[in-house]
Amino acid sequence: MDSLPLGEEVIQKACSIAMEAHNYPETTYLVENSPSSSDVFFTFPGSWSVADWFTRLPFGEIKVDRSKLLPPKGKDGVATSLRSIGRDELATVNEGFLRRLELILANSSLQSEVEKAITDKKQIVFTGHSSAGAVAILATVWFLEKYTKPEITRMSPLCVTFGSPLVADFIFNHALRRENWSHYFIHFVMRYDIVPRILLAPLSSMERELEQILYLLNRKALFPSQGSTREASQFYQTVMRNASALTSHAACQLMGNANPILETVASFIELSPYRPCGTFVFCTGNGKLVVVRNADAVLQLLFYSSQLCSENELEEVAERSLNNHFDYQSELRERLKMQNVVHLDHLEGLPLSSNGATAENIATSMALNDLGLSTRARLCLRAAGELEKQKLSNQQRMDRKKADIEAGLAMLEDYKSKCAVCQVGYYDAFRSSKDEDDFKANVKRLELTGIWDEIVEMLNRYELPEGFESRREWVELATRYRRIVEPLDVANYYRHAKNEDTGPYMDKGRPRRYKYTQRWREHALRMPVGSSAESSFWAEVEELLLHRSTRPGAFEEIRETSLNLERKLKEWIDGGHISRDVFLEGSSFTKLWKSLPQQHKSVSCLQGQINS
Amino acid sequence: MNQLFSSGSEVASFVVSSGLLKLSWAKNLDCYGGVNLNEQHTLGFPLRYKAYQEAKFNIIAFVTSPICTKSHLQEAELVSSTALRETFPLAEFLRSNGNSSIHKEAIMLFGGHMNELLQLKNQYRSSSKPLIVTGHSLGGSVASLFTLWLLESLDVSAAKRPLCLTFGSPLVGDKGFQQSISEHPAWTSCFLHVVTGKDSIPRLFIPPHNLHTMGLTSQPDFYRPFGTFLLCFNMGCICSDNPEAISELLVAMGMGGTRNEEQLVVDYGKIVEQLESWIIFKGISQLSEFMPNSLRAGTILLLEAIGLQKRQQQQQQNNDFDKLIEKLEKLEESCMLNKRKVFDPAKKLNDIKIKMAFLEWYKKVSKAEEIGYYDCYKNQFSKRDRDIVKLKKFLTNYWKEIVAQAEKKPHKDGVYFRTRWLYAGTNYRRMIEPLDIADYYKAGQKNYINNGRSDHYKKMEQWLEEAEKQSGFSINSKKQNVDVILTYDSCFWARVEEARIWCKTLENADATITDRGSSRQNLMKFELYVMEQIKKSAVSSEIFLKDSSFMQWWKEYEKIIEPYHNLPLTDFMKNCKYHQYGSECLVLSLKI
Repeated sequence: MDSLPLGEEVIQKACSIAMEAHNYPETTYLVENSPSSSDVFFTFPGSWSVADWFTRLPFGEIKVDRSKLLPPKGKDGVATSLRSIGRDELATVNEGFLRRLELILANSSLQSEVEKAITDKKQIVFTGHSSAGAVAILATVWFLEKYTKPEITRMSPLCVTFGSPLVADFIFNHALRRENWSHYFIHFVMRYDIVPRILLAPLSSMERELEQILYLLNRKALFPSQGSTREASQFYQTVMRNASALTSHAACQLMGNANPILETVASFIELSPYRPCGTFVFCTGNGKLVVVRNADAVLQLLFYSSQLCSENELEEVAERSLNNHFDYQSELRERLKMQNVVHLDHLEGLPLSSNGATAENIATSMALNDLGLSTRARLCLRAAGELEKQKLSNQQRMDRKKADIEAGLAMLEDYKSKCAVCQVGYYDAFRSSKDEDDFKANVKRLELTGIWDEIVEMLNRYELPEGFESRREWVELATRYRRIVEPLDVANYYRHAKNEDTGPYMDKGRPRRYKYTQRWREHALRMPVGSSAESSFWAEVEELLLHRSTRPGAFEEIRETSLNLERKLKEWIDGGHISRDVFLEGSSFTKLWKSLPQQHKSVSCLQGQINS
Repeated sequence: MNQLFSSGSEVASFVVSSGLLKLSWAKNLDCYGGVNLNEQHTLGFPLRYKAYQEAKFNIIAFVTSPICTKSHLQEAELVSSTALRETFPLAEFLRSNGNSSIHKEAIMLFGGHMNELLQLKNQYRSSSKPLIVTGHSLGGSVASLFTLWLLESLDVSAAKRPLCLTFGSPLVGDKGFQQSISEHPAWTSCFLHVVTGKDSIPRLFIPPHNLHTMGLTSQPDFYRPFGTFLLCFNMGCICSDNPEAISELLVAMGMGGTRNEEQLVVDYGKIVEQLESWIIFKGISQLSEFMPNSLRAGTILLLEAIGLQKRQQQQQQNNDFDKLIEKLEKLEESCMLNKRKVFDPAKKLNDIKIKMAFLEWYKKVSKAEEIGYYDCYKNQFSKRDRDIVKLKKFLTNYWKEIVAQAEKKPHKDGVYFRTRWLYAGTNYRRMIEPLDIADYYKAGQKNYINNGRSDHYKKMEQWLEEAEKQSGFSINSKKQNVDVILTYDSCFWARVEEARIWCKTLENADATITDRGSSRQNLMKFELYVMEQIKKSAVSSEIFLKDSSFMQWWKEYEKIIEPYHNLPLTDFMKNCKYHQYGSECLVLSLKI
């Protein structure tokens, strides 16, 4: 029998304090920190005003850089983790929930309480029910960025939500998975609970109804009440129809459908940017807990698990879609004891019909039946599994090319040391390309380009597993590649005078394979943005040389740049990131150095490094 | 091999839940409103259309009055686009890819309102709001033609694409028509045709399977669907954009149980409403039998959704049903395979760059041997020269394919495409065409430029000229270095070879006077041509290498020319000024 990713006690406790918080709508946050327990729980009261859910049309979303809480760059210049690294695309989150967290942190002692828990070495649990769940998710991410990533603490936080709306887009999920944070997030969702589905619909489709529904939910949060069928069924239908548009659009992509009508129709309507993240636990309502990690599958489940069997069910299900939102405590109290948990893994092989069970998958099959999944729903889940498998096999294919890359790099490193013997340095040897060795190096450069451009293409289409860009062996290989090969690309660029047509290499000519891999290293080592630019060193030398030859009298214009470059070069040389062959007699750098005014050189940090 | 899926139901769900069907149908209905159904009409159908400016979209609806029904459409006559050349503005585009034919009734209706429609088109072409063009029955055909006309005048890569949404429209054209639209993926993506099994109009022009027995074979080509079809029946619906699959399904729907439910006038409003409300139901999407294969399961669901399934005690129909399933699966598979096989020039570009690097090296080595790569290749002394043959073949195939692709694209896309590849293409042409010339003259043939030159070179040269004229695109770097450039005129060596042939003619005692005369004239012209190129710094300095064909020619020519012969090139060559070719001072002295 499978088990839940969390202890029963933590779940029970989290659930009860999350529900309790609704009784204190005026407080900012609640904390449960008993001296006898090793856990600290933080939770928040929910918000029931439309303005907190949707700050703007159509979906109330903003890029994370629009808030000081999750800045794109920290004070140390390190970029946020909440993005795709190579593409450098920032995650999008719900603005209302983020602003709420901002307010809470600004007006309460939450931060100091959290820091105290860190000092006490306690397990921190952020939890919340309904919109407070969304705040808990953002608080956890804030914690991870602020305390875990800089290794202020080694204790990882936990986030447990109940009936939380979605808070962020697929890049957010991509980033959590890449950082290996995804498993800190556990979201419980009752089969028919409408709240986790609300943000799949644009505000314009339900503005007035949403206000009513939130009002109803608020009342139910305080005193259990019945009788809301009419509003509920209208609202349920609106949300489900919009969820259908989004999930079927996503399913087409999972299945590899290339029908261009999809794109055309999509340009006429509004599709929600929100996607699930973390681990989802669906409560079937009849005794099972179904654990799903694949975010694509979760999205499909959010729609398909609350579909209707027939028209007669509409009123009943619509009513349940509201009432279910408050059933977590009772449901979990019952179920956790029974420990009836099923993990939906290996989605690509799920049984397709309710009677397709075999001895091995009887539990899975029953779970699918309990979620009421049609064959179509199961096909969508299979497609989600298939895509995950495909990403993995793409990664394996690239892993097999590592040997080719290694061999290519070894050959070019050999070329580099041969050139140094002739007192030229491989940059300048390649730039003039007189010998057969230079030609061979060029062919090798182009062969390697092919492999790396393929990786970049796959990253752009998100066709590799999320963790690819932070795998150590690839970051290291990429750095080696960048340091040895990018100078050749720079040499090639200036040899063919492409700067005359296109502009400086760094502005227009730098290939993405170098930009991406530079970000990999900066991310992996938590370096400030742009600080690992050693591989494009020669491009700066070329631009300075050009300036010296065209405007020899105007040194003042480039003095700053030159000083900067000299300072960085010294660091790179000392760190072993650039080899001393830049100082060889025949090198472009030596040429530049000689062209600099004597007075400038005498105070430069490189004075003494070069024999002039 | 990965699992395949049949996603026709998902596309349909998406389209239905977008809400656009309901919105569009309402406009058709509104357009019908106020039509006097008893109106007299002797000259075909009066067309009604109306433009609506909504908050988010503009919508134009086309209907006929009265409602066009099956009985009005017995004539399936097609008109070929050649016949339409004068009257129909789209004919030009439709003919560009062989012949194509259009339903006569539709084109007449469209043509009859040309002037008003032109106004309408100009009015909405530049609107920033997205546009839906919709229509019912024959009005739908007009909507399709109008949308095509609109697309032809749009830059689809920049402008927002319109959506053409028809209800129960008869098929518009034949295979040629469908193909000329599908050549432009951006165009195909704009068409959505809603069809229910209860409506016989959309399948009226589909050739039934037992066509030959019905004596209908006199029609040269048959109607063929284009764009995406949303097929629906009762509670289910599916989408397909594969013309073959759509034809099959339309026929199957007509043969199957739906026939009894055929209606003369179908209320699409009610159908759309039902479809929308059924989206949230599981409906019949539960498969009863055990089924391990995703594609098979999906296909069966697909057919069930439009009312096609096995029935007890109907052996013949069940056999047909199995065949249909197999056929649809095959189509899905081949569609996936084709997607993988599509020629993507960008993917191969890096291979091409590697091959070009080899050629650059070959050129460099040949230069070091004082002969130049043109003559080196022509002599074929070493294995190295023979290796180049393979490279050349690879590169030529690649560029021929690119040229063919660019030709297929509509005008504006094509221009974009060509510009994108112009730089690499010109480089290729200047590098490789001399080798073709070498092969040609080595085989003892004459007059390469008129008889031997491959079309793709001509096209590439033409594109470059057009781009230079239109956008001031310049491929030749400002600071030219004659040591590293490739000779601009890729036919330069062909001209040299011809010049050598003329020299031979002059030396030949048997040559007629006319031949001698024309050869002499041609040589003078050649001399002027070469001098012009030198002045422009448009030839590579390699032509002056000791063993090059050009220098051979000069030696032969020098012997022939009279002492008083005094053209600029003579001076340039005799006084060995070419040693300074490319240096600043020479450029200056030549200009004076």
